[in-house]
Amino acid sequence: MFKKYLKKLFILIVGFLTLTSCNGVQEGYEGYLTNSGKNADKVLRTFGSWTRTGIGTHYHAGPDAGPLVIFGLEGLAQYVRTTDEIVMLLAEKFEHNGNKTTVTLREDAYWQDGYPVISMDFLSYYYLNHNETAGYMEKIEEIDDKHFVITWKDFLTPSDEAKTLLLAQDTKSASVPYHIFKDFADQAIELTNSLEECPVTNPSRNAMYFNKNWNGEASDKYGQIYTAFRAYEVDGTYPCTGPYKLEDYNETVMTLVKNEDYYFADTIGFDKIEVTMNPTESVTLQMLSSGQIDYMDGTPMKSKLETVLAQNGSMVHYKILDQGTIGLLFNLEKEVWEDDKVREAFQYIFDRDMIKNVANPYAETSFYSMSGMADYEAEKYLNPDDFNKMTLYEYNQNTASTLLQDAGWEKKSDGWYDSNNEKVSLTLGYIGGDPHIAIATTVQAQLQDFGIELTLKSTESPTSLLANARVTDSEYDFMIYFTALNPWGSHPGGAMKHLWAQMDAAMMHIPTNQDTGRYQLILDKANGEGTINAFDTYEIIYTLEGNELREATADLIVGFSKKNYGINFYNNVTGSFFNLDTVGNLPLVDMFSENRNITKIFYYDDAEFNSLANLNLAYTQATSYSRGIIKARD
Amino acid sequence: MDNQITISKKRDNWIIRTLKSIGNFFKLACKNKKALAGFIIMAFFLFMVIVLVWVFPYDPTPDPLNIFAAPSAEHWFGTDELGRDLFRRMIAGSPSIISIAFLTGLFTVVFGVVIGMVAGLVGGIVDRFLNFCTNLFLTVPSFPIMLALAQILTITDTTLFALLLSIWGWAGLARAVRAQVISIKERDYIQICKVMNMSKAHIIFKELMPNIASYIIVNFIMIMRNAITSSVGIMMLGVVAYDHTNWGAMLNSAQAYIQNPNAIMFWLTPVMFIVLFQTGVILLSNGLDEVLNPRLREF
Amino acid sequence: MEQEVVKKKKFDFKEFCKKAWYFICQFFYKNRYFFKRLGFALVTILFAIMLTFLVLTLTPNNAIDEYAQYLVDTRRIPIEEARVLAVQILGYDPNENVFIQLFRYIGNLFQGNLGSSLRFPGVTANSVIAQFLPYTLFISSIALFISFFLGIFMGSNMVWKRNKIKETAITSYIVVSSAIPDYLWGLILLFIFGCSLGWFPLTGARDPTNGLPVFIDLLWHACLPIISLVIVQTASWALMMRGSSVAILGEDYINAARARGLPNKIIVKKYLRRNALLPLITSIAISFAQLFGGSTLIESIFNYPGLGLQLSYYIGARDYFVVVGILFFTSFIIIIANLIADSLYSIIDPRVRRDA
Repeated sequence: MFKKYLKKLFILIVGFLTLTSCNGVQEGYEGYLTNSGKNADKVLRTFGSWTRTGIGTHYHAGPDAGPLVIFGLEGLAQYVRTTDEIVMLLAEKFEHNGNKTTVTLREDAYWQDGYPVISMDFLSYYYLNHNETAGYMEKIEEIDDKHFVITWKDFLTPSDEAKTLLLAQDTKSASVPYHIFKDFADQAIELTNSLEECPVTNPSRNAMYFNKNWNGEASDKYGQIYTAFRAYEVDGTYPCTGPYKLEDYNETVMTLVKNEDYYFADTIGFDKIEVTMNPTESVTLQMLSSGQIDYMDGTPMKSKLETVLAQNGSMVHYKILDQGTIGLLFNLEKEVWEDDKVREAFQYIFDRDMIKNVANPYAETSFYSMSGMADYEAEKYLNPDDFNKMTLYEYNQNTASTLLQDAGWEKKSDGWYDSNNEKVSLTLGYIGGDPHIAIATTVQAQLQDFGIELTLKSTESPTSLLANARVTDSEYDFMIYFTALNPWGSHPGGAMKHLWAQMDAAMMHIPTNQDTGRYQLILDKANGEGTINAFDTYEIIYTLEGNELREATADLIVGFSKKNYGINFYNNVTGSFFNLDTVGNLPLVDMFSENRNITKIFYYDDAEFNSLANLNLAYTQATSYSRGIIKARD
Repeated sequence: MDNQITISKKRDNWIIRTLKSIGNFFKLACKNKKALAGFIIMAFFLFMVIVLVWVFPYDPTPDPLNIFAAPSAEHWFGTDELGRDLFRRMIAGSPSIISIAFLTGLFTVVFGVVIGMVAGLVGGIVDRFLNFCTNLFLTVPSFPIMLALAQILTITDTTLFALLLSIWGWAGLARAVRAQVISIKERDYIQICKVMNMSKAHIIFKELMPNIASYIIVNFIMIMRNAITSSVGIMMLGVVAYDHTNWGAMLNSAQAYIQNPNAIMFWLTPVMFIVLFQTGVILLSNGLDEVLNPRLREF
Repeated sequence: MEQEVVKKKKFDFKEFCKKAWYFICQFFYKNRYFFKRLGFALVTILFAIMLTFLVLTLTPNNAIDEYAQYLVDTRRIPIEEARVLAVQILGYDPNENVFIQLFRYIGNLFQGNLGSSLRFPGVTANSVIAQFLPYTLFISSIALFISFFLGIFMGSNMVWKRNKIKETAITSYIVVSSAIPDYLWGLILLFIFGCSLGWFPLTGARDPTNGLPVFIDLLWHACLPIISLVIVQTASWALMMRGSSVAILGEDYINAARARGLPNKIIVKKYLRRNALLPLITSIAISFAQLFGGSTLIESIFNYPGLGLQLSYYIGARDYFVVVGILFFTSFIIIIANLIADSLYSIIDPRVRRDA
């Protein structure tokens, strides 16, 4: 009787174990080279997310249309993140001449409802959407339907390189067709022109778009126009110019089809794109394993990545630099960090190699303090002399102890006591997801080992991390987040923007001037002669070029790293999964023939660098697909 | 003098009587196999919390080269997602998780039963007020409150943690207890007690309690299990300090490894411990129920 | 004559008013307990709303922050500037007195608007509920139905010790099924039946492209979520049923039935189960009402477009008015269900008299 049960149990277990290999098609790269016709329908299946209650009728309506925005909407040009490449899209060329730029539009560009793309579409966009690029502009004038001239602010004219980049950064600038939004665009332009000129007092772009005095009343009026524009409902299609258009969508699936009238229609790589709403991580991995998804970006934790590749013989994974660095940011409001010696000591406490191996073994450890820029990016933008001035901190807990003792700290049997003879106990804020949980627990283990008690405080999203950190008397003593990030094209200004204008400076409570509310941080110049006001220098960084730019960047980067305001752990690496059965034209065939988990990372001077950057949807938007760089298997 | 002697005698009697009844109880309990098995399992957990924590100290430092190692002499249950020993991690988490589970169950049941009984027995304005409170706690969702709390405090104390978990659980129980009490109190035997002018304490403990004891125990078990698996939710919101040895936190991080055949121990280990813990509680309580509840003895 | 007619008419009208008034009074008086309770219930909901609203507005992360972050991402402007812009665009000032906001909100409530989204023009709590509640109700009511009946069957069999194997089997099922949280069950089921065997779809609630009839398609997508809900919920129903059955065992009518030599099956079926069910009515009413809130974890695992997932999304986006609107709706249902359960209980079980 009992034996019978055992037998049954055994069969069940064996059955379960056989099931545990997902039923992916075990073809691999050989099939990739020989078999064809695997994806005759030319369909790409991927993940995305959009607002489940409905995507609205146009880009500015408020809800997020997710994949439709990426594949359907475009701008004048598209930069390829991490590289110097600029892909000209709706603009045929930019002609820079002093503080004027003439934009020539492509003759064969049409909105998906048949109207041609005209200059007024872009005037509408910039006058209705006060964004970063608009902040550099004095005015935009229409010459004819296909030409318009941008006049840049006299005192804030970007370098020629930066002008192109700033225009290319507006990846969705063709989203306000004048033939639909005429009323709102006209109102906005009229409002702007009716305002009085603003006398130039400081280079801050804030509140002085198009060199006008945006006083309270004007701002209110602008707000009203924008709100009405947001609420306007477009009849028919979602206004787009890009390579794909919306076929259908519901709460979990969105289908896009090729736009036959697109100017690059001949080279578009897929006829149809099927997007599944992002599921939870476990299900994401299951879908990759069972071959239900052809492309996904990101690099999951090592063991998850390896499981997917082992279970699906057709999957390949590329690693791509993301110009980001992950580490610790100190909350400077806290008394602990007042002493430079303490901040320096903390640089030595952590075994950064271990943290990197735990969180992302494919990445590269960074031994610098927080500089606001990924190491390899700093190496690219700084003169070698200046770059070498940054201090390398090897893992050495003895040095840390000596420095802390110098600062008046004392180690007792139950841990460290600070100069006021109070037991040191710190709180770390982090976002509760991969790989931040792994980093947080490792940091906790290492600090515990060193003799400092650490409380971990999880939070749900970057926004709530920011909100919790930026309040006065925040609970966090330090946070785990990007100590550097530059998703905005190849210019040092991108990384500086992340540090100063986005989350980092606000979370770190970098001291501000009480009268103006602007950051007030004085840094030593890299060459040791004099000082700079960091925030002022940051604000004009797009106007600098050549050696001037290199030096200013060095002052900001080296000066900031000398302050030891944070700790770098590793230069992050993201990546992309591709299904070899359905996606063709993929690079590095000889590498993935050996190992479908391509662990080699390519840097700026490697020949393959650009082709890798083109693989990631977030880096190129739809341009890799419309130019045939990635296409369906033959 | 005489008086004193009688008092001390009385006291002696009292002590002896309790000791005797405890002895009897154990005799009875040992006769019942279920209760015995449950008792052994619970003793094992107690042993784990008190002794094993010292015998198998846990090193939280990750070992990235040893991720998801198979069970071996060195790592009895294998290693986790960062290469740490699973068995030791489970043990390290046991003192807090077991006390959290137990205290949460206790607090919830005490709140629920006291409020439910008072409401059911007293009736009138008291009932209405308590009903109002119960409804309030049933309808106000815990999630936003936890969000707000996350900004104000970080809890590292187990008792407070348990209290926080039980705040949102008692209302349903209180309602159910109230309903039962109202139903029972109208029955003949209670009415007879009332007519015979028996004390309130007698009615509550001798007549009412045995009737709803099984129900309360069932709730106690479910609440304990819920406390283990839901404690991670509050941790992820940041109200309570994140502790990776918490069994709920382990289950939560095991989610994404379901399809990894090497990681099977990672989610199976906490599941096994929770199953064992729950088996212990259920066996012990069912057994005791059978021992103490005259109705079940005959069936 | 004419005067008389007029008089009669007037008289009639007055009489009618009087009678109507009398009837209304009588109606209210007869049901005064019900209305009293209803009034109390409404006050409770009002309290619940105020509490939720105040708490949400007190958190540092608010709707403006969320929208500002969105503007930072899309327009690449500094966060401070984005915040100013967000206040302007959303037309909502987080620094405005909370009580004024609350009163305005309650005012809207009386016009039937449960709350408009701050982020998405045109989206209201009403529209969110209308769009997502059907999905949630679909899976969770089926799951509740199945698990309730399985649970009471198991629970009533548990107290009957005669059948040892059955009892052991049920107990071990309960222990194992309830030790694994529902999201893990969901993932395990997904892995076996969705990923390995490919019998069921991994995500979503419907797929118009597969050519199945709509209802079959819906059921096919709902299978795994329902099963994982049933696995976990059955255990608690069984345990509850066991508890309530134990309380019944000693009753005279059971003893009498046994004395009459009735077979166990009939005792369980006719006497035990029916009577033990009574106290579960309160629980099932509350459970049913809680369905309306959806089960966030299961919905997110199966990517199922239910109300629970939406609620957590809107809480994440700090879209207060929609959140409070959905909560108002679910609280309302819970309170009403409670009321109905209490009333039903006193009808079904005549021993429960109205409390004096």
